[in-house]
Amino acid sequence: MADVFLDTDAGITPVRDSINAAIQELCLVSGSYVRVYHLSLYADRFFYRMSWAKDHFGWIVECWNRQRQYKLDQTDISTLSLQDPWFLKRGGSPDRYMQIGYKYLGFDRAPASSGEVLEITCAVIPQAYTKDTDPIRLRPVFQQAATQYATMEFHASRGDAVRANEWLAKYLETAGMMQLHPKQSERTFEMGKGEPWVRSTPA
Amino acid sequence: MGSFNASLKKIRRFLRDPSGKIWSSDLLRRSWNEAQLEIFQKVGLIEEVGAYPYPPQYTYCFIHDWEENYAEGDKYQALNLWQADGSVVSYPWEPVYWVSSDGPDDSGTRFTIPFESTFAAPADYVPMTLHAQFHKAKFAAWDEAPITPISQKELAEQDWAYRTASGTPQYYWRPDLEHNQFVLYPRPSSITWQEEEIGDTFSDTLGEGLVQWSEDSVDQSDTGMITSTVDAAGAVLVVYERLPYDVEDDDATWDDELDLPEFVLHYIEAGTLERAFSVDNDGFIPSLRDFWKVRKEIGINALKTYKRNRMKARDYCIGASQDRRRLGSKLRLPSTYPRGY
Repeated sequence: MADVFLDTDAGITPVRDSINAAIQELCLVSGSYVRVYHLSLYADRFFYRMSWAKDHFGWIVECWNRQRQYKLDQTDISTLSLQDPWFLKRGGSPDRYMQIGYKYLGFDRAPASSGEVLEITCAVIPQAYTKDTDPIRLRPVFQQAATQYATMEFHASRGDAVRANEWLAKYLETAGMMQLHPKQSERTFEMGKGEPWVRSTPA
Repeated sequence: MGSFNASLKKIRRFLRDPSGKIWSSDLLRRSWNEAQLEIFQKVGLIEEVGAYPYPPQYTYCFIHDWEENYAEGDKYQALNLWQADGSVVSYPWEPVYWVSSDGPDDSGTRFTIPFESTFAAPADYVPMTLHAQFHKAKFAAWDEAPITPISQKELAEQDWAYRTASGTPQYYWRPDLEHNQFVLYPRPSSITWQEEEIGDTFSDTLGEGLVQWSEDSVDQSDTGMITSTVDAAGAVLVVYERLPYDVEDDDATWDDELDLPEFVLHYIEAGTLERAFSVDNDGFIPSLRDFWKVRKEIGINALKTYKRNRMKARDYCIGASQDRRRLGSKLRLPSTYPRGY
């Protein structure tokens, strides 16, 4: 690719953009990259908006209160309001958490005093890398898929939809994400050597 | 976070039209707005938490329809348009005045600014405004107790005086979808004053308000409701889904950070490219249109998978809820037990 993309920051930008898009999609679907967020709780606060400096919040894998040595259960606002309509009026160390959108967290209940810290293990989506020295957060098999994604976008940027589709299929197969393809739902799987599935028992 | 200009540059690379000779930037901007609306309507990714003080606070109050476009922020249209001649009337006896001076008495006081309703017996309901991009409500509470939605018809059948009844709110209803308003039923009879100061709204001090840790404390303040420092006690708390803001036609704003997660931008770019290659101009290429359509749909499926992943840590059981008993931390044996030698 050296004759197409110069090995400079500006020259490599299209490749870098493609790889960033691939990394984010792979982590978004697989949850393969996990980091811990430390959330300090405040008195009488139910809802918190998180701010991630290095990564994008995906979802919570585990929510641990180290002080109480207690694992919080997951719930959601609808379930919570059905199970305990007065949850907003209750105070105490939280037992359950809920994720709202991609940046809010809520807790059942609000702590009576500030000071507790939750260790929240989260699947995250890495920020776009911008330098050669930035770490790439991908397993080897996903690294191969990311290069195929970049090749797909290269062909798409040259106006070759046929080859772009070929590389798109390779990318999805390597990543094990064929189920995301919209035409996947039209495939039918049958046992045997191409023989039609026996749909009724012969008399 | 990215900007529209950064995405526009990428889109132009795939279009092979760096100088905009085939697709104008404005066409791509409108395609972008369409694409993001499609994706977020299908996926519903943006959810927010907000608290609304009562009585509601509006940035502007106006009377005639034409005034609306000269105001910004939260806008309240006061009084009543008389459709027969386009004028605005305050009381129902006014339209009939030229026929008879014995028009109907009004049952209460008309107000022009909603907070006035708390100092009189209002003749009509007091509407509260929702977020400008509000899409669906997930949860609502008044004074930290849940309130449920109800249709205007159901309410009217149960209580003919529903427009003016006061007490502790049990329900909320929406007069229509266009005005982006909701109304509490009954109207709160006790008020917890939570006046917003400009300094509060723009305050970024840790520890103030509903939101504790904010990277963008002003993200809702100029187009929707004021939420930053409202306490949920004595106020309405709403958890809701919203749609993204359109990219404005003023290109001076195109370098502003978009209020969307970075990992969604690739899919909006794909949706924009799908639309660009569908346009009836020299750039109409069906094969590339179809390719980018597939990429967009893969993105939508990826985002739906992401939303399912968020529920992975749930404990599901059929029937009665699972009885989970935990040992309290004081009852637990120490991690060093039994001691090894």
